[in-house]
Amino acid sequence: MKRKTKERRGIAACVLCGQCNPGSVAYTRSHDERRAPRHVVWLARKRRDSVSLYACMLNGRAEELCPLAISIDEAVIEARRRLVEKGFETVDNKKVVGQLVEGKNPYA
Amino acid sequence: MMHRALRRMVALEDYFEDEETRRAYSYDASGAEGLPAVIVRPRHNEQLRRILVHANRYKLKVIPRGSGTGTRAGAVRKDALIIDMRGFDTITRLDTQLHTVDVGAGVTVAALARALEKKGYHFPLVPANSVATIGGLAATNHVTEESQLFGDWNDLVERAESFDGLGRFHTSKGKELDKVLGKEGTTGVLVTLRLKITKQRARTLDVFEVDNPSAALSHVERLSHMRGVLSIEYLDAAASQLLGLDKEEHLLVAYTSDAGGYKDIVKVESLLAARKRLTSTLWSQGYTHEIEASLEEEQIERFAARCKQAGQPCYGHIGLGIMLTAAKDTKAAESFRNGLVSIGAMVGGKHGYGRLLHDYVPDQVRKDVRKLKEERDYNEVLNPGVIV
Repeated sequence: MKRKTKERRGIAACVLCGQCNPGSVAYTRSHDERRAPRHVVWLARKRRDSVSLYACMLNGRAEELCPLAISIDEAVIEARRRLVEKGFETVDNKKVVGQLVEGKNPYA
Repeated sequence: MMHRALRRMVALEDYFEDEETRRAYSYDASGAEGLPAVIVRPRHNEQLRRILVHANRYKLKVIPRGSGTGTRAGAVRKDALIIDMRGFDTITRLDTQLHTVDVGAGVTVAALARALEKKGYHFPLVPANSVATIGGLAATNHVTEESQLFGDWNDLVERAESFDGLGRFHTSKGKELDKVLGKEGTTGVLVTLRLKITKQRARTLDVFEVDNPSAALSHVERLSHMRGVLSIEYLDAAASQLLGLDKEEHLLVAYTSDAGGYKDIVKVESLLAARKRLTSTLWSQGYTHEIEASLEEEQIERFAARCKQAGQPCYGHIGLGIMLTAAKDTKAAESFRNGLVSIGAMVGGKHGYGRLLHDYVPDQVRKDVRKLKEERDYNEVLNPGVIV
């Protein structure tokens, strides 16, 4: 299913208004600023290495709420890719990848 | 050490001193940055009281913060103790007889709207950013289009509960409200507000084509004698176009009665929603630095001329004498604001002054807050650097 219908902008255009924040279930339940989509964008923009970049579920809800139609998910994926290239991975990530390499259930 | 004691004053999950969380609180929608020392999120009055008593004892800099959606850098400060007020997020009492609702300062506009909608009510002032908290809006005396009919926060808050800088509890009503509303957390931290609510909504709309702001003002004069005028918004040609109107100057007038020409509620709501979104529409055009000014009638024409000269849009709550524009960068915004001061206009105030507009705070406002701080926050722990 193709979700992205409108033209999206890069994270440089973000004005940190926070209107995307209710798009994250983790954030709305906890009010944990580290899990706020706004913070994830801020981290990606600053090119900061942080485990918070893995808090995003990439469900597209934050993007839908963004008044500037910023491509948040794309930025998060890019930031995660950069983290992996630098050898920065979460324990869970390593476990999942290890299981996959061994041909086992990644979530076991 | 000074901060560690705070850990015992709130639940473990409401105390943050790790760098990651501090970074997440180091900015707000103003773009300003400052890494705080520690963040606490009290969830009831006693926790907040103890925090403020402790802060007062050790002269810590306290910054009350809601959702961090302010554009005036009021919620950011280096090495500060941030009090995240979103722990006060309950709507405790809805009185359909007196048309009031008791709301925690950390409740967001969207959450309040959802709760009231079930009973057919709404809070009259609707800011563009629904993530903002009620406490933050009241603290900055946030003006919206609807202020034309409903007035400002002083008119819409019946009672406010707050703690001052010494940790003393205050219940304010009537004129006493002025000691805490619109003071940007410099004289007290709001915890609960009793808000007046309404069932009155925009029902009809008029869209007048005008030649210039002076022509718009003659409409304003006529409209000021009419009942049920909800909002009077001026839009120059650029702003009009962004709302999908012709490339002319317009006056958008919303009524709670049947007085307007546009009676199709879908059309009415769609135009008003587009006006509400104008700030973010302008962001998308690169106009990210909003500038507001409170103007006398004779200054409005000059304001519009300056906008035209700078190639900036001109719009705003002309009925309230509050006009807006937006610049593309900090330098252009600063230069525009300084130009406004030279024509005697009052810059800022619509969304508070914060740290960003500190230099534009009128002397009388500064004097009033200083006097209040002597009574309520003489150790100057609350939001230092804001207003005074």
